Amino acid sequence: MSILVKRINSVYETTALKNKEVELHNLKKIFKLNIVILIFIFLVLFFYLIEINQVITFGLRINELEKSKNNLQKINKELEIEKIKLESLSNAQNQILTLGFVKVDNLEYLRPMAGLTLTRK
Amino acid sequence: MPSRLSRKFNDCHLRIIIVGTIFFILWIIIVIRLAQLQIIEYGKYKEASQKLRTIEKEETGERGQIFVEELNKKISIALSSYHYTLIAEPINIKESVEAAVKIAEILDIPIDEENENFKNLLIKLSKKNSQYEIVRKDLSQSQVEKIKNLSLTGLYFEKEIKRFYPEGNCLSHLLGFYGYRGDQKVGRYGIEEFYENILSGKDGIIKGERARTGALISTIESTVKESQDGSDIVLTIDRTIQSKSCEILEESVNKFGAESGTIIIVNPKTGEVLSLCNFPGFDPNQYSLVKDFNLFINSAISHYYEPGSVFKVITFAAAIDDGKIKPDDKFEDTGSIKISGHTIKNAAEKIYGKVTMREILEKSINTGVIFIARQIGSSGFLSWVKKFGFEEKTRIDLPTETVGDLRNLYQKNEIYLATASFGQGITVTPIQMLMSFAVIANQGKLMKPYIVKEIISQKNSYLSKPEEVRQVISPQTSEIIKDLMISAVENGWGKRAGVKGYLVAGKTGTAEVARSGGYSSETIHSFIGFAPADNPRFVAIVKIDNPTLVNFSDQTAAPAFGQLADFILKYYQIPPTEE
Repeated sequence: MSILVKRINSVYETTALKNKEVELHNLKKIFKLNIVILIFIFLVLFFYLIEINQVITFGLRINELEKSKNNLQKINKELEIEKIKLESLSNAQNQILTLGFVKVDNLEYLRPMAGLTLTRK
Repeated sequence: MPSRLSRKFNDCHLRIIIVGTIFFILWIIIVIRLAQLQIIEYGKYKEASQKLRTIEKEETGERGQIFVEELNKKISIALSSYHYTLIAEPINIKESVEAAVKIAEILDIPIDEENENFKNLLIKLSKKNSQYEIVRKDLSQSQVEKIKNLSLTGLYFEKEIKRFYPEGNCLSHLLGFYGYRGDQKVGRYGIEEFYENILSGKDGIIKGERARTGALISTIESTVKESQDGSDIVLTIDRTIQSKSCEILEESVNKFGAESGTIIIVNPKTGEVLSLCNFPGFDPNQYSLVKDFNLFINSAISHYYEPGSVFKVITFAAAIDDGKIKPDDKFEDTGSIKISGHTIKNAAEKIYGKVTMREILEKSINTGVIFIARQIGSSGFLSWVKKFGFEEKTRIDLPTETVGDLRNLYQKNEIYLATASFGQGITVTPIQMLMSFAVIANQGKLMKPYIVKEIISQKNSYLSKPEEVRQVISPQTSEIIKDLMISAVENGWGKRAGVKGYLVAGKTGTAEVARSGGYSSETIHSFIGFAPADNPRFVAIVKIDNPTLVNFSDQTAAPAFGQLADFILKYYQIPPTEE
């Protein structure tokens, strides 16, 4: 009887040990999976951070470029006004005096002569 | 004596208590900080967070430009630009001397204590009790950027939209200006006022939450009302003719000691206004310096006057079209005529004897024109005058047009018919008078005058079309009147309006100015004509108000017209037709 009990106990212990081993093995697997998931999450977070950072950088760059565009547009407008000032007739009048131009006078218009025809050879 | 196990337990317990206390203190600190952030400083952080998360941007719709065309190129004669004023809050400026030196460098002010400008700058920045000092107006964009980059405290800029008119005085009455009405900036006078709704832009607003890129997140709560720029306008005005006519007008007014004057030039076939100039004008860039507001009034369309002898042409046209007279019909002039107890005499009390109808216009004989008007009769004459467009607006696209006064012609007394036949006792505006002459130059058709040729919006463009008001006289009558007007220039008082080699048609007019019930010694001289008479390219009125150095318009308005016609014919490169 005692031998049988011992035997049963031994089998029981062996089974329990085996179960524990399986359990341990499963735990290890789960742990590994968790580690992988964690690494993945970290990687995703890392990429997310990089992306966010890049988006923000681009956003700032766009804002800077927009500001710069606005400034250039304003400077362009100033230059346009300068150009218009130079094109004004009062300025042209001053230039005419400075450059010594004379008034158009004694105009003679060419009249077609009767009986004369020009031909092209 | 406690056992080793119980000592170990006590140590462990103590550590737990210490760690727990530390954590509790940390927790308390965190709670206090959270309370401070979320309850005490709630408003501040809410505002900061909203500032970061939201956009609120107001955009100004730019006012449209006004152009003239030259060789198929558009040239701007009115445009808007931003002007900046540098404002200082001396109370917030730390180092006023250092700030003054840096600003002076940018504003091209010599850094010299003796220099007035530098001294003023330094004084303004050093007023420690002041919160508002205007340092400099009309800064350029690059100057603004440079000053901003200095990162000085106590300085900021005020932005203002200003309208720039590169041609200054020359186009003042045509364009008007962009100025204040109450506390609102709008177009005042001229094209700026008449086309205010078309020129003015609409302001926009962008309001809502923004994404990390700075772009607006479109939600129900976000508002996007885009700004709209005003439309551009292209005028029919020829800048060269405008400039020349203003130059001739100014010269004539000064030369003859006159008060003021007007020149209008129109293409008779279309009604396009080529030039409109009044003297004295004003600089629309500095309209605020004008003390006499009457200077803003466009007398070419707003002032009415008694036209004098130029009106004889209208009487002639009516009588010829009615078949009452022919150019070679005869009339015996006795120098005066008595009507309703009034004696009307010729100018300079001249007696011409037996003359033809042609000679009546050439010599501008008052008695002869009265004879012609009597042939038509009072009611007939009134309806003819109205048919020529008097007592109605020409509908030119400018504000404050008036219509003149024909009330005397409604009265039964014949004296009013007699005086009106030579342009006294009735009033007209220069533009009405000019358009009535354009009828003769344009085969008897009355055209509507217009100044805006094209409106260019962001999406479309609209072209103005010439508009015929009515056929006033027959083309045959217009040809006869043209012939009579050529005679008036070649053989009559209008000789000085002629141009060698060209057929010029026109008529002089010297009108007395009515003052409180009678006529004063003041006169208004005018000449209206067109050229080349056989194919008119322009019709122009030269009006000179109260010249003090000469008596008749053949010495004032006629030569000014001649000078103008000579220039325009050369400018249009029209070959001469006469020897």
